[in-house]
Amino acid sequence: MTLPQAWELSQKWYGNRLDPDFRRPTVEEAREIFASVGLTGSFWAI
Amino acid sequence: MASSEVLRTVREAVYASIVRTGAAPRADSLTSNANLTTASVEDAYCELAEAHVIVLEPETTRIRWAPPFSSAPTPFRVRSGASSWYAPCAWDAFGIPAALKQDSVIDARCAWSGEPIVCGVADGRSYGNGLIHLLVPAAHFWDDIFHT
Repeated sequence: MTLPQAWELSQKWYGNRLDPDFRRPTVEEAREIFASVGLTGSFWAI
Repeated sequence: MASSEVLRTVREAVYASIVRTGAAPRADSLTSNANLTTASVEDAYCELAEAHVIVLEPETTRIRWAPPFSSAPTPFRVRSGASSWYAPCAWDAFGIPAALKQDSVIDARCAWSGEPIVCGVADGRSYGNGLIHLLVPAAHFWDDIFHT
């Protein structure tokens, strides 16, 4: 992935990591996050 | 099984410690401020690891990673202000400025050439050149997270 993709992905994946109400994304949410930053195809299928 | 309140208390304490010091806390160091026993903190560590929130050193209750932070040195160092942290991988190196909501400089090296890679986040935008290659497909990230 490109560095801009990594940064965008990181903000969506880790942006709430220090929040009191943090929870890990569900599988469906993770799929949506990957797709939203252009990470698609079989490598990113979960 | 730890209560959700204990898990939350321990998780917050782990992240507070690693953000402040760069190192994850030992279980026995959390007992005084959280009013917990060492065994209950260790149980919480194991449950958080099962949930893929943290990663323990194999066969122990010592935390190696509280992603995107690594308690152990790695090739991915992230600096912000006067502080610095290690990240488990290149993706997580960008995860640290994302979690902290702070601009950061990432010190890394190309896995193939060993050349330094200058990249990071400035004014809320990423900078630098290069690509991040992941070895393991997403569906198998957690099969062997140390390899991933």
